[in-house]
Amino acid sequence: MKIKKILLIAIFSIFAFNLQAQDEEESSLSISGSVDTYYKYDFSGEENIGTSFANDQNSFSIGMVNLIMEQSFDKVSFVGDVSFGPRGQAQSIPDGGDGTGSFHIQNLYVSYAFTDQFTLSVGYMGTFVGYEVISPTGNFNYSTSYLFTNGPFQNAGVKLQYAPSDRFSLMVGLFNDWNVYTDLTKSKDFGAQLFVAPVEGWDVYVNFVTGDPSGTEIDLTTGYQITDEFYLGLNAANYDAAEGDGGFNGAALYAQYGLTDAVSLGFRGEAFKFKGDAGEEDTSVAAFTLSANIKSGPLTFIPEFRIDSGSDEIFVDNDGLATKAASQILVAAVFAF
Amino acid sequence: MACAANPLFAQTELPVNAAGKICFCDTLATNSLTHRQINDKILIFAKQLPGYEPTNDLHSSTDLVELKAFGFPVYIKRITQQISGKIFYDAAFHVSDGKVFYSFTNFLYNPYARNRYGKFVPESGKYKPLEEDFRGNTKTWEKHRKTVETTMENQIVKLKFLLSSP
Repeated sequence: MKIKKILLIAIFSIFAFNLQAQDEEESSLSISGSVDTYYKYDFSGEENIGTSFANDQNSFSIGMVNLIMEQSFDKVSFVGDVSFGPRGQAQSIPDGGDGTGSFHIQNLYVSYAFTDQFTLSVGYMGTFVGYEVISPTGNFNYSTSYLFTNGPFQNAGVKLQYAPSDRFSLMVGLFNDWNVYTDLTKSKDFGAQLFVAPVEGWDVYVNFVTGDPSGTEIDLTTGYQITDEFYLGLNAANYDAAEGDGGFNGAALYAQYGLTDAVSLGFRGEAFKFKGDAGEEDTSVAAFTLSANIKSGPLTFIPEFRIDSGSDEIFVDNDGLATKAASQILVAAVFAF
Repeated sequence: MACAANPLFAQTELPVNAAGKICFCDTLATNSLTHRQINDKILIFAKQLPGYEPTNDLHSSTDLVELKAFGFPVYIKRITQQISGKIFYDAAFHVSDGKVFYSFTNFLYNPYARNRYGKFVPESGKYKPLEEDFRGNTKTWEKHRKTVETTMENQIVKLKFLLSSP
């Protein structure tokens, strides 16, 4: 605890010491974002697979409108990233606290690069942990993995990144509990990320976050563009709750093949285990997802088929009875602007 | 020389060499400049090329100035202008007998995508040669090729002016 306070003070001291009047090189304000919508049908006739987003059954449903503002002034920059819609609100994390679920902040932070190698960022940021992200433009598959659903979505805090080259970087930071605008607990989470790129096109991230009551997660996220057409990614993680024996672990493999510049096929295979708490049995699930990305300019169509199989009866069938397997199809449209 | 002028043209009329690679290349005669003066001028010119940064690897000798795989950004207009990617290329200048042979070639497009923190960053390991057709958003692809053409032609005008001045 004392170490965390010292680290926090040190980071802010460096920031304050270096924050001098700058010759401002203003970049224009960039506004970008996306909208997404989908139709999903689960063959049980019920909402069934419990991973994040694309949950509505037999419904033409919406994801979110995502608006991102970004601007840089020489060494400083900001990002303001808000979303409106189910994907960015109730399906993502609890709303802003007023109970209305009106919108959600995805990113809201400022950064200061006090040298070419060191950058300090403060605010509410997309998590550094894991492979998949909330924004549908950042994922190949439209439905999400169990690893994503059960890991952190955002980490508010302060982080210091050291990047001596584009092949290596190290980040350390102090953060609130997962996914909250306001930290109501006394302690802070500690997080760290090591990035290495052994060869061009191969990125490896080792992520670590720990705290109370958040728990401890260690995560490996890596991806390799093996050829112009073929990409392989891997996400593996272990999470232990701060109290008790609960948690999860798992691994997901991502393989994508570009048939043309406009059409790609992607497969995600995941093995995931919920660790039983207080004498409960572990529950495992394997999920296989086949998606296509068909691009027409800024628009991407994503037809997708998914089948999940559990070690226990964690799904329901056509008759509403518990069963071990579930399958669904969906078609999503994602427009990035 | 590896890159000879060739009347062949690619789809958007970018000049290509005999090997089919996009290549802006030619030989320029200089008037009353010493070998040393030419070399100095080329060095100055190379350091103002689009995308050049002091960290770039610049090889120079008395006869050759060479820059490999350095890039400049290209943009697309959505609500506001946003970076679409970077165009990487090689530049080489051979000085011989009072003449300069220049070449700009090996054009590769590295797309950018928005990361989890809301910022546009290079897509790791994805490089597409500018010679290839783009089966997707061809309008943006053509725009980038046009940007390359305009940028390189402007640089060639600058180079000619520099070498023709005392």
